[in-house]
Amino acid sequence: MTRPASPPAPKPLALVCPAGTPAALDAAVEAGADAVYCGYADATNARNFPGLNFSPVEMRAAVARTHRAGRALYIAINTFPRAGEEAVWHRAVDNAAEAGADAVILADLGLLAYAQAHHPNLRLHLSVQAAASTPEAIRYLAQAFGVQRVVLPRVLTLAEVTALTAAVAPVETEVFAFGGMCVMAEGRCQLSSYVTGQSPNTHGVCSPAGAVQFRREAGGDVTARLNDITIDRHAAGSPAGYPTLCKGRFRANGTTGYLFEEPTSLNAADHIPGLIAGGVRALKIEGRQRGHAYVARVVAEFRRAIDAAVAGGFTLPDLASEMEGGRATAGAYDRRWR
Amino acid sequence: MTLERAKLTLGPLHFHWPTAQRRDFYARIADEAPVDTVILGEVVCSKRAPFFDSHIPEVAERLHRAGKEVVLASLALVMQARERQAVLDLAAGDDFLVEANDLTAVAACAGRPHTVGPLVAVYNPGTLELMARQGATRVCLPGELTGDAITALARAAMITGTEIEVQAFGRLPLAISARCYHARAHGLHKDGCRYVCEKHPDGMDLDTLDGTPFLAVNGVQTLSGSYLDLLGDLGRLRAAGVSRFRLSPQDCDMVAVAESFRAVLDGAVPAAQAQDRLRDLCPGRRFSNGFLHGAEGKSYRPAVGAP
Amino acid sequence: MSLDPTDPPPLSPVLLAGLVARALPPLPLLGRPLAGPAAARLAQWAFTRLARRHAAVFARLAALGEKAFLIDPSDLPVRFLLRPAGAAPGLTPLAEGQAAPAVAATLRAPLTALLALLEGRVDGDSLFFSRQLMIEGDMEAVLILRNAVDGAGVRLDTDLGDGRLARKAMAQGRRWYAELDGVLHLLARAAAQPTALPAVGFQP
Repeated sequence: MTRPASPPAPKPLALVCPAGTPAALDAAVEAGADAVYCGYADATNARNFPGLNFSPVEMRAAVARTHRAGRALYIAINTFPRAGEEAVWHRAVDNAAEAGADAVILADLGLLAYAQAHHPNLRLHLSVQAAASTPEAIRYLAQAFGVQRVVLPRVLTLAEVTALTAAVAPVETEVFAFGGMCVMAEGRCQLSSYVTGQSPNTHGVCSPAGAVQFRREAGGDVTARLNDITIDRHAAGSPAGYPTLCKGRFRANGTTGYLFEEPTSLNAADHIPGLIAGGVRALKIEGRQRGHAYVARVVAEFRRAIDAAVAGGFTLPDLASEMEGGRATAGAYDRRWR
Repeated sequence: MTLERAKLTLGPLHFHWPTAQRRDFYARIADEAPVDTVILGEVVCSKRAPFFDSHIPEVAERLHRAGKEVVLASLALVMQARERQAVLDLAAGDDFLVEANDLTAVAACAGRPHTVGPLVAVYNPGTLELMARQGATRVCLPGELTGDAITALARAAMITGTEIEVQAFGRLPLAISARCYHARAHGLHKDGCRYVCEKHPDGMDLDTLDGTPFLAVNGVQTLSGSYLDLLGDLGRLRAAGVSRFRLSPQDCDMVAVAESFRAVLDGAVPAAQAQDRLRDLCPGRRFSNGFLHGAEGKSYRPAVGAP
Repeated sequence: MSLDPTDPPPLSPVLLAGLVARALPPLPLLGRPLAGPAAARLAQWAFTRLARRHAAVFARLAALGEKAFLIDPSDLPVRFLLRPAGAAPGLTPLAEGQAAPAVAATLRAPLTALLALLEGRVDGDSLFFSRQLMIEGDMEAVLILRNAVDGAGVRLDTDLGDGRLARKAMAQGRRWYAELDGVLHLLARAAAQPTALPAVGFQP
């Protein structure tokens, strides 16, 4: 395969960073990302938000800029093609190959088969949306489609991640380290479509903006709704999260609370040394929907933390202000979370 | 065009019923329910499996004697070593067809006849054809698919010879997690859950802050608050090429539910009349079919062309 | 300037100015009303200039059609009507008490936060999580606006800062700001010594 620039030399733990706009891409590269992942501005990617993402022309320019800086660019085409509209997803894969992407991040098995058949030199990463959580599943995907890296579902403990990484080598593993956190197994959640009719799996958007309403009540409280479903209600000054159902407050078993998860972000920064020791190939930052200020800040902090960990002097990044509800959880990496 | 007689599948029981209740339930299904296929096995939580696994051979035998096809379902979310082994053992067995409910099982079943459950992402003909090439003889489609998507998939399935199944009754499985919400709602962790999910044989109701009924929690699984009811849509789906309908067991008279669906499929009872009966069978429940109509899943839309 | 969204200062300078302006009508502070003709010309000029300098961004905003936003600096006695696209795009100040026309959405935050957002120096979600930014209305429109602006690379000083008109406008802006700033220093003293307040007076 011909590329404008050769990919960067292998590092022990690559930092894979989000970009929803060209400005965020530049911020990620400048802040020390080893790779940046982007999506096309349509339903082919799982952050199909209004005004976000790249046109094919912008994507080609993004690949060129990233390669000039000696970094890699991955293109997420990680939703499931809607029956009858597969051509849109096929075109996205074609465009990504033509743009010179270093990898495409796919979830749909049929789309993996398409990419393998039509672009045999295109590197394939398995999206978290594919929900491959075991060595058996991953080996099968590597064998069937030539998948070279797997983004692991956010359901595994650190011990399970480490064991899995060893079991699937030479297939690489990539894990989420920071940002928005799905509480449900990704790619298998129909909560948002149950309420809005639009699915993260086929429309690429959870809690679509068009269905979200914030209303200030007479008493000053703010109510967040998704269509006609009240997600949460809180005092005007208290910290907030994304208006997603899994971070909502509900009543069950006679009590009211955040039954699934509090408004919180994932922060696995303190597991960086363990992930390096466990042979994980890449750390992923979530947040293609975030502004470039977020990207710059989070990427720089993680760059510093990884470099320090490699040098043996690891210290935690401080990123509280970038988090949902101003707080974080290590999620499933910590067994007690379950 | 004459259509082959549509079949009914009794889906896996999602809830943690006491062993005795389960055995009685399947005994009655064997004797009375007009279903063609019964799916056994724990799909939701591997911690529950030991309670009923040892009874499966006997229950399966009884169902088999009653003329029902028995299919064994695999776990929806596989993470731990013993869960993986259980999937491999299941796939290696010769006695029953296996329903794959995650990619571990899809991988383990590849190369031999099996079925694919609604928790595996089969959203388009490309993926369906891939599944068929690997030995899937039947695919139950994800609940959130629209009627148009189902139609496109059923058309593709005619070429591959795959049976297309669609859930037509019961709570929709909307999400699965590593975290147990039943335990969390009781101030417990999954490891020390005390099997509190047994308290809610039809799922634990979850309401919004306004008191609107919304979802049902079942351990690590989140289900729709409403029951799916596709009685009014069966004709359209049959015409599209859907050959099987899945009834998901709820804590109600499932024999009577199966009779209602059978009667509508056989043209013996009008859909509207069966729907009235279904509401009598499930007092206090709300019904939905929105996904099929391309709308929010929780809504109920009258069937296209319904009288 | 750095923003710490986790700890919004309860009495930012601009907030104090806003309180003063609200508390002491008729507004003597700036010599003319904040939403008067001069301010309107300045706002429209700044908007037009940004639109010209960032044409690609404004092309992305075309999806908004005629949708308008109410930009409400929570620490100023003035709000702005922003119409990013459509037949008559522009930025119009509204005086306090002046009824706002129907808008797609309202964005309410301290002025410093709004300017930081415009320049992409702070992430909108972070402002939102910390409740410094309040949003009401059409979220889709807000996201289109936010995502386009975040990608624009707006820098107010360089974008607005050259040319004769720009210098004049910036000078006027700076004069207003200096007046504000002077008042603020007095205010700060006044706040420290409440009894000194009447003696200081508020002469323009």
